[in-house]
Amino acid sequence: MKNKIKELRKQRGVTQDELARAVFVTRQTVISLESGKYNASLGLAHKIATYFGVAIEDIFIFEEEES
Amino acid sequence: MKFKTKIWIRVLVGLLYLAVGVLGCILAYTGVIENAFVSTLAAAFGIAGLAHVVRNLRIIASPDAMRSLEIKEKDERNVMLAEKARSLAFGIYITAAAVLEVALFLRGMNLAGQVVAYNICAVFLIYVVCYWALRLKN
Repeated sequence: MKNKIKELRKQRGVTQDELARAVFVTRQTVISLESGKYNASLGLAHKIATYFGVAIEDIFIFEEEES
Repeated sequence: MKFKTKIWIRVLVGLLYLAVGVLGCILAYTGVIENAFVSTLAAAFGIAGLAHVVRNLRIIASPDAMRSLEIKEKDERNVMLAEKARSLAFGIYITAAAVLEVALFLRGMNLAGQVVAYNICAVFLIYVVCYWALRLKN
């Protein structure tokens, strides 16, 4: 699943560490999310969306082939 | 359970290890236990317990270190990786035990082969029980 975390984070001038601490995960998890190696759980996706003040579907792009 | 409570429990476990270690060392020193393996094990327990106590007390004293540890332990990716590793370890263990069992029977070591076979059965039984217990819960 693709996502716009890196894009949003850079737009807001937030570091990976700040984002990680805000959503209660490690920086390594943020790195994996940004590189698309790891897909966030619904709970984490909600936390990230709330942090950036946008809807979940505005950050995470679900592609039909993945299902 | 609050994370701080968990850390305090770890301190208590460390103290228990330390007490067992000290007791073992005293028994070895007074000659009650004359087994070198047991006295070495007791000393190792004591050192491990002391390290456990010191480490966890330092974490309790620093709120920042406690938060970092809590994040590290509760991080969903870390939890997922640990679960995957456990699952993989289970698969590898069962396969290796099955190969070992066949090898033991082929070499005529029937008793050892039986022990390994019962072990595989026991692990599978535990797996099935855990699976059904989790299925009822989720």
